[in-house]
Amino acid sequence: MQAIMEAVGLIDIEFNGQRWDTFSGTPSASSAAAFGTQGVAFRAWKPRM
Amino acid sequence: MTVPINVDMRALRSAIQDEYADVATQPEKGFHFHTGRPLARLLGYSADATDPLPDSAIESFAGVGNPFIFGALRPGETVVEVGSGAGFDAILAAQQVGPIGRVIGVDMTPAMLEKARANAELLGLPHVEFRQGYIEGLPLEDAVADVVISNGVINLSPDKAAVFGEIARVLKPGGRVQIADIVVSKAVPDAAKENIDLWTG
Repeated sequence: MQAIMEAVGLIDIEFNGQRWDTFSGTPSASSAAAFGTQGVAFRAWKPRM
Repeated sequence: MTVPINVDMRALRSAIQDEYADVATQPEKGFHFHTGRPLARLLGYSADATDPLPDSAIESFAGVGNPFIFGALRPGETVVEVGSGAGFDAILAAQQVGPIGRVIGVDMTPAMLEKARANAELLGLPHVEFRQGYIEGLPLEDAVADVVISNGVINLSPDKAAVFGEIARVLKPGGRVQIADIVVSKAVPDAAKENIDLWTG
């Protein structure tokens, strides 16, 4: 994801470091959990002209 | 459009729309992801912001993180939400930017758009609008957004380069993204990437 953002020109990419597990303990079985899927948050900027 | 992963885009979009139409119309059904107020609490959303919301504005929330963890948006900003669902994050954004700001949510699922528009009207937020469209081709002019937010949607596109290209296009120079999405800690085999059932489950 970071490489794609850099390729389109976004800069100063910053992940906040927190991880969220939103697929464990859900009502239906999830393939996402099998791949160790976690939520993350990040911020990036489009350069000024 | 270049789709790096060998998947039937039309079939994938149809499967995603079916899944999220259920999230919009039957949020109590039970899915492979958490939803609603319990999910918002898990993701650290402020109770001050979420407790006053009517159930219809939060029950179909299905994000994977919290794009506001970097801080509240500023009054007057123009915000684009990529994959706005039933409008939960867009509504919070609209409350943060206030009536001198503007929020535009884009989503491809009619049931979600209908619910999001009803929620915005119910909450008296005329400065938020929802447009139907694909995240690989946003129905927006260039350089319109101070901020692009998204929550758990970009992972549903097999063409992430197109999505981020569109995000960069609609951002103003100096604009920013605040995005929550997913990462995997185990390699996903190519066969799994081409299995539409796994994209939605």
